[in-house]
Amino acid sequence: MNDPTALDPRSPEVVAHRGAAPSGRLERWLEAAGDRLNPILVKETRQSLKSRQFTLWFVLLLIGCWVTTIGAIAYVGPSIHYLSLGGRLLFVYYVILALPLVVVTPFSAYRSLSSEHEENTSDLLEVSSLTARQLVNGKLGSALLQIVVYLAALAPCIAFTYLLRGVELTTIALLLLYAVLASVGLSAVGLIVAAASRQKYAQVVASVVFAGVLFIAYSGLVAAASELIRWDSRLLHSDENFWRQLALLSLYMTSLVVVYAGAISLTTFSAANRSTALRKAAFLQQTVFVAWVAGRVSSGLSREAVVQYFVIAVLYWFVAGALMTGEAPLLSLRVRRTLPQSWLGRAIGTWFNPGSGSGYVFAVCNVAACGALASWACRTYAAVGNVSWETCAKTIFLLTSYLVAYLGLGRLAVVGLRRITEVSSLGAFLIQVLVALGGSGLPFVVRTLNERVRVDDIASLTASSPAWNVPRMLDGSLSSDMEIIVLIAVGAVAVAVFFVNLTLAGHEARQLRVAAPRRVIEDDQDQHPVEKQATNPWGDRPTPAAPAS
Amino acid sequence: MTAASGRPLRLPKTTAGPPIELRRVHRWFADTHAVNDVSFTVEPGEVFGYIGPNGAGKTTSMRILATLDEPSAGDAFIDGFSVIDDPDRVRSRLGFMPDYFGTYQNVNVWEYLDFFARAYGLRGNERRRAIAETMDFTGLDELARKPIDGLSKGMKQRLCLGRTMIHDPSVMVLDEPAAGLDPRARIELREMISRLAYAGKAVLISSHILTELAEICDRVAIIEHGQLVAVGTVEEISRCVEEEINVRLRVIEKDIEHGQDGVVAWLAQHAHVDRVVGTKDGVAFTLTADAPHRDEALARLLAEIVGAEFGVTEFSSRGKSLEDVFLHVTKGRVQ
Repeated sequence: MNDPTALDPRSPEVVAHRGAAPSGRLERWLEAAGDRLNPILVKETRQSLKSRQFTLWFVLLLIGCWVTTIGAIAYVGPSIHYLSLGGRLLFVYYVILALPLVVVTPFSAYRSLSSEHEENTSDLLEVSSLTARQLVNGKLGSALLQIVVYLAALAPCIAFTYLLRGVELTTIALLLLYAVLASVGLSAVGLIVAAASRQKYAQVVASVVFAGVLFIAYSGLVAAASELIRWDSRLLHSDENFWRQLALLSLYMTSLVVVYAGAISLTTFSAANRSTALRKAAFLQQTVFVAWVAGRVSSGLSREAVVQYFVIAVLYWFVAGALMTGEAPLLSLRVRRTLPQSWLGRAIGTWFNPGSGSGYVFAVCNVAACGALASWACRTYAAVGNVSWETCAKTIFLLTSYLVAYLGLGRLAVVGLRRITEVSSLGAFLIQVLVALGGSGLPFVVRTLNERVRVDDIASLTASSPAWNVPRMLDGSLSSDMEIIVLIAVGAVAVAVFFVNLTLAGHEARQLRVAAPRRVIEDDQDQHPVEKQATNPWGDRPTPAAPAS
Repeated sequence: MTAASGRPLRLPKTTAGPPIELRRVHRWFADTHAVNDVSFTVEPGEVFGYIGPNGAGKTTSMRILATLDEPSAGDAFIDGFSVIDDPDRVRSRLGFMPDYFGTYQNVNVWEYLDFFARAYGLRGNERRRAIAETMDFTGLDELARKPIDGLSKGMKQRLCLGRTMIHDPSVMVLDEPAAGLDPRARIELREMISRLAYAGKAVLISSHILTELAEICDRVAIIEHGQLVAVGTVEEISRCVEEEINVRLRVIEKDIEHGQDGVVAWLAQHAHVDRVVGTKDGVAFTLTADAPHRDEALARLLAEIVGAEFGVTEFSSRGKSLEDVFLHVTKGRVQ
């Protein structure tokens, strides 16, 4: 029966009373926290909780664990008190847990963004106020939430393995950390793959390839877990292993930053600055890499190994450079509003700005810096090894010249083609790769076609091939004449190509900051009104003007 | 202006310049010139119809306005912000309803609106109020907990309109909102759009159902092969193109010579009259006249008929419908 004197639960009195109570405060706090949650995360969580796929995997995971636990106990019987079963049982649980973590969750993240394109909801997200960062964060957050749920479901079983003895707590923690990191990393990769493949045919190919990669990653993780459980406590107690783990972790973290920045860059609108964050992330990764190599050099790394690490840096900057040189040569007005203005800012910041020319110079500068550091390390710090530091320096110079030349030639080809037709970023990347492969592979193709041809006969063809000359330069199998020819020829081409590209990139460096349109400034002032500053040392602020009558 | 419940609708934010402005917009897709030098503006509170045959460039123009595509040349502005340089500011002021639903699985009506309210940055009470008002306005209150998959097409269209207006945009761009709806749902949608315009929002709407556009649009633009071929009110465009006036006439049957048959014979010999048809409802014919002298020509003809001693009981002319205008304007003008 209705009581007429009863208060409506939504009436201000009831709300005020509820707000004063501790539970009311908690409710308000939770509500405020809920408001600040990423909208994508909220939506994805609601969808996941109602989806059959999540329910199915969750139930399968539980069933798998129960069957394993009951089966193991029944099989071992009373000897469970004497046997150290923990390690073996942990491995089985890990095999079960790794499947949803390393395969299902990343693939869900990929499908989640991919289906936004398929269902055309990506258009609706794009026209909303959501930023690309929020979108990527939301999708990653959703993956992380699934990981937490799966881990929570398996937590009692994992605790059980510790009680059974035979495995250390640090090993368990490390194994779970690996699985979580792999899951997050692969989810981020899934997002970048989904963001890059918008066409139907690309989505189909990407789905198959990505699923394959996930299963390979799953097998790798399971194999690594088996090794880790075998090593158990010795793993972290070994000095070398400890540093190796830390290096891998830093490599993983910086790669994650690059992938994350890449996913945002592919998701944001075209007039936005899609490049600077990605270049900063790549620069960060290079810095961390150099720091690790420096650490290894100080602990006695050989000169050959330093050069080998430099090869990795060159390959890295070739790929990054090929992607950067494919960027549009014109800066949008929006990007030009944020260009650095000071002399120092322009000198350094210009090469972080989006643009094909700036990307080329950025890659070349990074490789040159790495080359200089590597040469210095070979001369001063690295263990002697079998190679003289002069040979190392020559090899480093040759590698740098090849990168400068090939990246520059590829860029010139793209710039030329863009005068005739439209060339996408992917197309520009493929052109770069084709130019480099063409030059590198020429002597090998000739040798394959005619096995009787002598090396001397094709000397002129080998000059263009880093794959041919670099290993020979390092092991000293190039004749001294050939060494000089290759160094001078490749060096001269590199210098020429660099200056041609630098000249062409000049207009990018000369771009000046443009003022934001009046409407934008007005809008900024509306949204973030700035309090008028004091006009004298006593802090008096100007009095607001009286309203006009 | 009130919502269905009688509560006032929120007024749009203040704007600088026209809410919608296209300035010499071009869009090429390889060799196809999908949008060719299109310029027009839409004022606050105006419903602007955008009509054209399939592939004329309507959707492309609308996608450019919605920041989902970029013009190859020219620019478009929403509330004074460029769609190229400030798409983020445009998005917060624009409600775009594409010609597809774009719904999510495993989500109910309330959750769907809640997601988009969050996506537009609405928080706390503001968000709850926006959802309540939107559901009230679109009549979806009863269906709040119903999964979207189970909604009828008309209800989905309402939901999409709700999603479009959830953040109270000052500009709404609606691409074929009435496509596939039954007559009742179309009438309801038309009413909702009129109410939005009455609340001060600038509405750009494209539709194939021209009779409906004629009823709700203040102005229309006709586009064909990417080019605008006419812009103005339906009357203005009609007046410009009207050369043949449809006229209906009824006379008293005085005698054989001065009855309906007589007037049919008389009209058939008239220099400016054509297609004379006698029916049981009277006589229908077309009068050829210059558009600016339409009324004078009609008056002169009526005087001539009366002067010929026909007892005229009814003499009415019908203006061209939007469909007539559309067909006339787009017929082979642009190749």
